[in-house]
Amino acid sequence: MSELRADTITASDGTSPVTLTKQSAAKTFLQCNLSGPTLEQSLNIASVTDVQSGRHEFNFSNSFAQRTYAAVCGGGGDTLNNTLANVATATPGKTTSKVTGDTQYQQNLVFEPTECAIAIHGDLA
Amino acid sequence: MSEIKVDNLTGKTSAGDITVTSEGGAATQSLQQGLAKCWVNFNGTGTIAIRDSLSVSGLVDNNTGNYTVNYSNSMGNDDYSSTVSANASSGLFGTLQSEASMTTTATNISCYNGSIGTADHAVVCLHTHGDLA
Repeated sequence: MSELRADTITASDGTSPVTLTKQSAAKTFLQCNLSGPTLEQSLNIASVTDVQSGRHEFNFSNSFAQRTYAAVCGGGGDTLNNTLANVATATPGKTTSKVTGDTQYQQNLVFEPTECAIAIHGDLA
Repeated sequence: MSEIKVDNLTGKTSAGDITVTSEGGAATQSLQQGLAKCWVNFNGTGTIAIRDSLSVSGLVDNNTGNYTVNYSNSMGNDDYSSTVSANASSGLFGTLQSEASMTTTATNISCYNGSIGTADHAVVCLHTHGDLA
Protein backbone atom coordinates (compact mmCIF):
# COMPACT_ATOMS: atom_id res chain seq x y z
CA MET A 1 0.00 0.00 0.00
CA SER A 2 1.33 3.43 -0.92
CA GLU A 3 0.79 6.56 1.15
CA LEU A 4 1.23 10.22 0.28
CA ARG A 5 1.71 12.75 3.08
CA ALA A 6 0.91 16.38 2.33
CA ASP A 7 -0.63 19.41 4.05
CA THR A 8 -2.12 20.95 0.93
CA ILE A 9 -3.16 19.45 -2.38
CA THR A 10 -3.58 21.59 -5.51
CA ALA A 11 -3.58 20.89 -9.20
CA SER A 12 -0.27 20.82 -11.06
CA ASP A 13 -0.53 24.54 -11.92
CA GLY A 14 -0.18 25.28 -8.21
CA THR A 15 -3.49 27.11 -7.82
CA SER A 16 -6.41 25.19 -9.30
CA PRO A 17 -8.40 22.71 -7.20
CA VAL A 18 -7.37 19.11 -7.40
CA THR A 19 -9.78 16.60 -8.90
CA LEU A 20 -11.07 13.97 -6.50
CA THR A 21 -11.94 11.15 -8.85
CA LYS A 22 -15.51 9.93 -8.25
CA GLN A 23 -15.61 11.92 -5.00
CA SER A 24 -17.03 15.28 -4.00
CA ALA A 25 -16.54 16.94 -0.65
CA ALA A 26 -19.32 18.95 1.00
CA LYS A 27 -18.42 22.62 1.17
CA THR A 28 -20.68 23.37 4.12
CA PHE A 29 -22.43 21.43 6.84
CA LEU A 30 -23.94 22.38 10.17
CA GLN A 31 -25.73 20.99 13.15
CA CYS A 32 -27.57 23.70 15.09
CA ASN A 33 -29.87 23.91 18.11
CA LEU A 34 -32.29 26.53 16.85
CA SER A 35 -33.81 27.23 20.25
CA GLY A 36 -30.67 29.28 21.02
CA PRO A 37 -29.58 29.28 18.34
CA THR A 38 -26.37 27.37 19.10
CA LEU A 39 -24.07 25.98 16.44
CA GLU A 40 -22.96 22.56 17.69
CA GLN A 41 -20.75 21.53 14.78
CA SER A 42 -20.13 23.13 11.42
CA LEU A 43 -17.89 23.60 8.42
CA ASN A 44 -17.71 26.92 6.58
CA ILE A 45 -20.24 28.68 8.80
CA ALA A 46 -19.21 32.07 10.18
CA SER A 47 -22.37 32.82 12.15
CA VAL A 48 -26.08 32.20 12.51
CA THR A 49 -28.70 34.95 12.56
CA ASP A 50 -32.08 34.49 14.27
CA VAL A 51 -34.24 36.39 11.76
CA GLN A 52 -37.60 35.54 13.27
CA SER A 53 -39.29 32.59 14.94
CA GLY A 54 -38.69 29.58 12.72
CA ARG A 55 -36.36 31.39 10.32
CA HIS A 56 -32.56 31.45 10.59
CA GLU A 57 -29.81 32.66 8.29
CA PHE A 58 -26.53 30.74 8.20
CA ASN A 59 -23.69 32.92 6.97
CA PHE A 60 -20.80 31.30 5.12
CA SER A 61 -17.13 31.84 5.98
CA ASN A 62 -16.22 31.36 2.32
CA SER A 63 -18.76 32.37 -0.32
CA PHE A 64 -20.05 30.08 -3.03
CA ALA A 65 -19.34 30.87 -6.67
CA GLN A 66 -23.06 31.05 -7.50
CA ARG A 67 -26.37 30.58 -5.71
CA THR A 68 -27.19 27.36 -7.56
CA TYR A 69 -25.43 25.17 -4.99
CA ALA A 70 -27.27 22.09 -3.67
CA ALA A 71 -28.49 22.44 -0.08
CA VAL A 72 -30.39 19.81 1.88
CA CYS A 73 -31.95 20.40 5.29
CA GLY A 74 -33.44 18.30 8.08
CA GLY A 75 -34.90 19.01 11.50
CA GLY A 76 -36.21 17.24 14.56
CA GLY A 77 -35.26 16.23 18.06
CA ASP A 78 -38.27 17.37 20.05
CA THR A 79 -41.45 16.02 21.53
CA LEU A 80 -43.10 17.69 18.56
CA ASN A 81 -41.54 14.95 16.51
CA ASN A 82 -43.13 15.86 13.23
CA THR A 83 -40.82 18.78 12.71
CA LEU A 84 -40.09 19.85 9.15
CA ALA A 85 -37.12 21.89 8.00
CA ASN A 86 -36.59 23.42 4.61
CA VAL A 87 -34.10 25.64 2.84
CA ALA A 88 -35.71 28.89 1.72
CA THR A 89 -34.67 28.76 -1.91
CA ALA A 90 -35.97 32.11 -3.14
CA THR A 91 -33.63 35.10 -3.20
CA PRO A 92 -32.63 36.57 -0.76
CA GLY A 93 -33.03 33.39 1.30
CA LYS A 94 -30.38 31.56 -0.66
CA THR A 95 -27.40 33.61 -1.81
CA THR A 96 -23.69 33.03 -2.37
CA SER A 97 -22.94 34.25 1.16
CA LYS A 98 -25.76 32.73 3.22
CA VAL A 99 -28.53 30.16 3.28
CA THR A 100 -31.85 30.52 5.09
CA GLY A 101 -33.57 27.68 6.92
CA ASP A 102 -37.28 27.63 7.74
CA THR A 103 -38.65 25.24 10.37
CA GLN A 104 -42.15 24.29 11.34
CA TYR A 105 -44.23 21.41 12.61
CA GLN A 106 -47.48 19.99 11.34
CA GLN A 107 -49.25 22.43 9.05
CA ASN A 108 -47.25 25.66 8.85
CA LEU A 109 -46.92 26.05 12.63
CA VAL A 110 -43.69 27.94 13.23
CA PHE A 111 -41.27 26.11 15.49
CA GLU A 112 -37.55 26.11 16.40
CA PRO A 113 -36.32 22.52 16.88
CA THR A 114 -33.28 21.51 18.89
CA GLU A 115 -31.90 19.62 15.92
CA CYS A 116 -31.40 21.26 12.55
CA ALA A 117 -28.89 20.06 9.99
CA ILE A 118 -27.89 21.42 6.58
CA ALA A 119 -25.38 20.04 4.07
CA ILE A 120 -24.31 21.86 0.92
CA HIS A 121 -22.44 20.73 -2.18
CA GLY A 122 -21.32 23.07 -4.95
CA ASP A 123 -18.47 25.32 -6.02
CA LEU A 124 -16.84 27.81 -3.68
CA ALA A 125 -15.78 31.18 -5.09
CA MET B 1 -2.67 16.78 -16.64
CA SER B 2 -0.66 15.11 -13.92
CA GLU B 3 -2.01 12.29 -11.81
CA ILE B 4 -0.83 10.70 -8.58
CA LYS B 5 -2.05 7.20 -7.84
CA VAL B 6 -1.97 6.41 -4.17
CA ASP B 7 -3.97 4.32 -1.69
CA ASN B 8 -3.84 6.62 1.34
CA LEU B 9 -3.73 10.38 1.83
CA THR B 10 -2.50 11.55 5.24
CA GLY B 11 -1.81 15.06 6.48
CA LYS B 12 1.90 15.70 6.99
CA THR B 13 1.60 18.16 9.88
CA SER B 14 -1.67 16.80 11.23
CA ALA B 15 -2.67 13.35 10.03
CA GLY B 16 -6.36 14.21 9.86
CA ASP B 17 -6.11 17.55 8.05
CA ILE B 18 -5.34 18.09 4.37
CA THR B 19 -6.15 21.48 2.84
CA VAL B 20 -7.62 21.79 -0.64
CA THR B 21 -8.14 24.92 -2.75
CA SER B 22 -11.64 26.06 -3.71
CA GLU B 23 -12.91 25.88 -7.30
CA GLY B 24 -12.62 29.64 -7.67
CA GLY B 25 -9.25 29.78 -5.97
CA ALA B 26 -10.40 32.31 -3.36
CA ALA B 27 -10.52 30.00 -0.37
CA THR B 28 -9.05 26.87 1.14
CA GLN B 29 -10.86 24.20 3.08
CA SER B 30 -10.18 20.98 4.93
CA LEU B 31 -10.64 17.96 2.68
CA GLN B 32 -11.51 15.61 5.55
CA GLN B 33 -14.13 17.96 6.99
CA GLY B 34 -16.05 18.06 3.75
CA LEU B 35 -16.27 14.34 3.17
CA ALA B 36 -19.48 12.57 4.12
CA LYS B 37 -18.63 10.13 6.90
CA CYS B 38 -21.70 8.00 6.33
CA TRP B 39 -24.39 7.72 3.66
CA VAL B 40 -27.02 5.12 2.97
CA ASN B 41 -29.90 4.48 0.59
CA PHE B 42 -32.29 1.79 1.83
CA ASN B 43 -35.72 0.33 1.24
CA GLY B 44 -37.76 0.99 4.38
CA THR B 45 -40.74 -1.17 3.43
CA GLY B 46 -41.27 -4.85 4.29
CA THR B 47 -37.97 -6.41 5.20
CA ILE B 48 -35.80 -3.32 5.11
CA ALA B 49 -32.71 -3.59 2.94
CA ILE B 50 -29.68 -1.45 2.15
CA ARG B 51 -29.28 -0.60 -1.54
CA ASP B 52 -25.90 1.11 -1.16
CA SER B 53 -23.99 2.66 1.70
CA LEU B 54 -20.77 3.94 3.22
CA SER B 55 -19.80 3.14 6.82
CA VAL B 56 -23.10 1.49 7.74
CA SER B 57 -22.91 -1.69 9.81
CA GLY B 58 -26.63 -2.35 9.85
CA LEU B 59 -30.21 -1.09 9.99
CA VAL B 60 -32.89 -1.63 12.62
CA ASP B 61 -36.61 -1.45 11.81
CA ASN B 62 -37.92 -0.06 15.13
CA ASN B 63 -41.50 0.68 14.22
CA THR B 64 -43.59 2.02 11.37
CA GLY B 65 -41.50 4.68 9.67
CA ASN B 66 -38.82 4.58 12.36
CA TYR B 67 -35.35 3.21 11.70
CA THR B 68 -31.92 3.16 13.30
CA VAL B 69 -28.81 3.41 11.13
CA ASN B 70 -25.76 1.90 12.86
CA TYR B 71 -22.32 3.23 11.91
CA SER B 72 -19.31 1.07 11.11
CA ASN B 73 -16.98 3.85 12.27
CA SER B 74 -18.05 5.85 15.34
CA MET B 75 -18.43 9.62 15.19
CA GLY B 76 -16.28 11.78 17.47
CA ASN B 77 -19.32 13.17 19.29
CA ASP B 78 -23.10 13.38 18.94
CA ASP B 79 -23.13 16.90 17.47
CA TYR B 80 -22.64 15.74 13.89
CA SER B 81 -24.84 16.93 11.03
CA SER B 82 -27.30 14.40 9.57
CA THR B 83 -29.79 15.09 6.82
CA VAL B 84 -32.52 12.64 5.84
CA SER B 85 -34.79 12.36 2.85
CA ALA B 86 -37.62 9.93 2.28
CA ASN B 87 -39.64 9.22 -0.80
CA ALA B 88 -43.10 7.65 -0.63
CA SER B 89 -44.20 5.30 -3.37
CA SER B 90 -47.86 5.45 -2.37
CA GLY B 91 -48.58 8.81 -3.93
CA LEU B 92 -48.45 10.68 -0.64
CA PHE B 93 -45.61 13.09 -0.35
CA GLY B 94 -42.80 11.95 1.88
CA THR B 95 -41.73 14.03 4.81
CA LEU B 96 -38.41 13.76 6.51
CA GLN B 97 -36.87 14.11 9.90
CA SER B 98 -33.86 13.40 12.04
CA GLU B 99 -34.80 12.83 15.67
CA ALA B 100 -32.83 13.66 18.78
CA SER B 101 -31.58 10.14 19.28
CA MET B 102 -28.22 10.76 17.61
CA THR B 103 -25.33 8.90 19.25
CA THR B 104 -21.75 8.41 18.19
CA THR B 105 -22.60 4.93 16.90
CA ALA B 106 -26.09 5.35 15.41
CA THR B 107 -28.75 7.75 14.18
CA ASN B 108 -32.47 7.22 14.63
CA ILE B 109 -34.72 8.61 11.90
CA SER B 110 -38.46 8.82 11.30
CA CYS B 111 -40.47 9.16 8.11
CA TYR B 112 -43.96 10.58 7.70
CA ASN B 113 -46.74 10.68 5.16
CA GLY B 114 -48.74 13.65 3.98
CA SER B 115 -51.02 13.44 6.99
CA ILE B 116 -48.01 13.69 9.36
CA GLY B 117 -48.42 10.05 10.34
CA THR B 118 -45.46 7.71 10.51
CA ALA B 119 -45.11 5.58 7.41
CA ASP B 120 -42.64 3.19 5.84
CA HIS B 121 -40.96 4.58 2.73
CA ALA B 122 -39.50 2.78 -0.25
CA VAL B 123 -36.52 5.12 -0.54
CA VAL B 124 -34.84 6.50 2.57
CA CYS B 125 -31.51 8.30 2.38
CA LEU B 126 -29.26 9.56 5.19
CA HIS B 127 -26.10 11.68 4.90
CA THR B 128 -23.88 12.34 7.92
CA HIS B 129 -21.10 14.93 8.05
CA GLY B 130 -18.88 15.70 11.03
CA ASP B 131 -15.83 14.37 12.83
CA LEU B 132 -15.08 10.67 13.07
CA ALA B 133 -13.68 9.38 16.36
